[in-house]
Amino acid sequence: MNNKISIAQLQALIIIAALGFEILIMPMVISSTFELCFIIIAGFLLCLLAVNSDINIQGNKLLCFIYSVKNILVAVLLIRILTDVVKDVLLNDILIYQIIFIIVLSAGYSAWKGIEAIARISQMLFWFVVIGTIYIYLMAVPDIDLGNFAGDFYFKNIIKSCLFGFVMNTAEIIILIKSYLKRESKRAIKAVILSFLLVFAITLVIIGKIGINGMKRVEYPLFEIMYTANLPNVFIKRQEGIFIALWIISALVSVFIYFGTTVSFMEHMNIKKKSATIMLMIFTFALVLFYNGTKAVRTYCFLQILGGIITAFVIPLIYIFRRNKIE
Amino acid sequence: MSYLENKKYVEDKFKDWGDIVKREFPIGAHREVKVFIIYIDDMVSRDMLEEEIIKNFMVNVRISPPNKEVDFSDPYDLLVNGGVTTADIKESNDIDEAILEVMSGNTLILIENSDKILIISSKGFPKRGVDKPETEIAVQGPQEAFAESIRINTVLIRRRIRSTDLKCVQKKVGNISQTDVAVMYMENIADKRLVNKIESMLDNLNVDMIYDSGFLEQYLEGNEYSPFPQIQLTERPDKVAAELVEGRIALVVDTSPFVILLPAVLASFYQASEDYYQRWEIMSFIRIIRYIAGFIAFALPGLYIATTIYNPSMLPTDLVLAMASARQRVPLPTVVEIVILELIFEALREAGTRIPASIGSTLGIVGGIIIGQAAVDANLVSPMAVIIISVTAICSFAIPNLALVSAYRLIKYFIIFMSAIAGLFGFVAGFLFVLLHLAGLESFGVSYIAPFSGVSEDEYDKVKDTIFRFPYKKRKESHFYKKLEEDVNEQ
Repeated sequence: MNNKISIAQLQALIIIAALGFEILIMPMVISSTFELCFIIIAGFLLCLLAVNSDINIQGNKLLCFIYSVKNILVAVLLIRILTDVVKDVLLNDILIYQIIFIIVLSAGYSAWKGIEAIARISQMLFWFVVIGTIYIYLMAVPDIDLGNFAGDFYFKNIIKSCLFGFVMNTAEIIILIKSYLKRESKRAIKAVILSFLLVFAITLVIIGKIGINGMKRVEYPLFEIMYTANLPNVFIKRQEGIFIALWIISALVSVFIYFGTTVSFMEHMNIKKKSATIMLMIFTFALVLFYNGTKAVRTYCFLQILGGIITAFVIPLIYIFRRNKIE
Repeated sequence: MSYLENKKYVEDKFKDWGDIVKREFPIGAHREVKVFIIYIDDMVSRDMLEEEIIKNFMVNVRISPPNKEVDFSDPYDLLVNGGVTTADIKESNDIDEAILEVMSGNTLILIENSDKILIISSKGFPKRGVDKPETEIAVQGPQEAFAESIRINTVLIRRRIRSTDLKCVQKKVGNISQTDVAVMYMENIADKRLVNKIESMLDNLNVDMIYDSGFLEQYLEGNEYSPFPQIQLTERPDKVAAELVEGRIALVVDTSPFVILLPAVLASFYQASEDYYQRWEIMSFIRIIRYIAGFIAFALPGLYIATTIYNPSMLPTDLVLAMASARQRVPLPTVVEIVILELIFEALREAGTRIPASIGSTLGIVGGIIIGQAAVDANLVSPMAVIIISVTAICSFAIPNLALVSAYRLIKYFIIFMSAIAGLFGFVAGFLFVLLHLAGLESFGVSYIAPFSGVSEDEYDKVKDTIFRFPYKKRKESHFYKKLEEDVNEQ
């Protein structure tokens, strides 16, 4: 293992990560279809910035520190969101510590195995996750009520919508992974476009099926679709378990990316891999328990916007200016 | 060392060897030169030795050339060029090396007035002939399996590849056992760096004894804590020949009927020789069945536990009701019921391998059918649990490699544990644990999950021999492992 990943693996990582938390959170934060468009466009522009920047986090200890801190906070919130989802959707009778423990343990193991192993499983599971997710949302298309879009296209707050582009963590994933790539990251733009199209289409299906007001009423609009989609019951009768399992895989892969890159950055700050992994696991476990889960999604969005301005916008921009200056 | 010194040294070394045969006798019309011959009884071909060597020394050397005095000024040259009528001889000045040759079944000859030691290749120990494969049975295709003799095994491979590019480098491994190990590879296909690495590993192996290729396998594999086999063992010469042409390297270990193939990837354990002898459509279908069976072999009990204990709503209502009514009078919790049944099946499997073949079927009937039915009738276990365990066991036998089956047998308990503590979520997390472990494994620099990951899409398309076995005409590249290694080296 040399912790080098291919473009195909980066593409798989980007798309699988988008099918995890992004399709979960997007319907929870938007208030209109126009907002969704602005978020997608802002997110895409950030990705262009990330792809064109020469940033190499591993080569700079200060950057390693900044991104590690941000990663840990993001990972804590993602784990909290995932824990709440799992408890609400799958495991009502189980202690929350148990779920957190399993997530942290698996994330720690992924970090121990390295970013290359995470990239490899993403590539391996890619078609299962993508086809499974597309299938269930295609099945929901006939249930779309076009009336749900009526009056939905309005400008509410363009600046707020653009800022929500930071919630799309694709740009950040590109920045985190860039220094592990065997070849230049510009070819990843194909995957960025595909992932954004998927997020856009899935959110449109959710809006079309339950409407903006309906989305505010239910806790997780994403799972609402899984439970209510008219799946053909030719072979097996209840199929949502398969799709929830696929979503959990995507969500866990997102957490793995943050854990894996953090441990790698900590190694570049002269902390041994074993110590870094154990420290990260203990610290994350403690923080997740400490954090009150009811506002996790809101805090996550706030952190992504506030932190993202530095990590996904300012720092990559500085590197672009620096390169232009040298040229 | 002189003749006498060598003779004394050899006699000292073989002191108290009841099975050693040694004799000193003079040769020449006037008994000019003494010759000392030594070998291990029944490890040599006595007919060949007496006919080709001893008879020549005692009779022919005296009369050749006719009507002329034999010149004994260089007795070694005289005997080698006029007394030995076999081509397979070796000259040595190292007495320890010569002693090693005796222990390998060769004959050592010391010649008076000469420092050189003559070693005659005379191996003739009792050995099993070429038999039918027992663990890799194929309905169609060759029915030959390797035997315990390294030479028989290398010949079985050479018969299939008549190319001068097929190299066979022979080494001795094991400080005490000095077991012969042949490294076989195609010079024009295999990665030379990998060949050098393997040769170096064999040279530096500090181990007293090599009992079998399975023993050597454990010394060569990269991650000794992984339950997954990182090196492949096979008893089929046709498989080894095909894999050599794909760029893999074979290690033939003397005294073992299994040949080591490396590097090995997960996909290679799902491939059987027969896949290539029958039509691609049916064999592709069977491959898919094997992959599904592989998944069921380690996942089904875990999935059953996850869905019945934590997430029954995931199952169709009719099925949940049927399962609940079947379990109504069973006193054991589902997890305990499944684990106990699994352990009983493991015991049954272990007993089946030890039991004489003549009563093996009786054990199957008593253990599987009678006890199983009685346990269900007594409400000790539910019929559904018996079905789950049986299906899991049947699926495990659909995988063509026993080492992978063993790995799945262990992984199954981990998945059961994860499912027992966190239902479907635990199952998914456990599955990802296993995948991460597999993704982190490498076999001699090749990703264990290649070509599913770790090779470019272009290379994957060329190979066309993983889950599907495409028609041969569609395969653009048959040197699968060469390509994988190139990809690794690019990184």
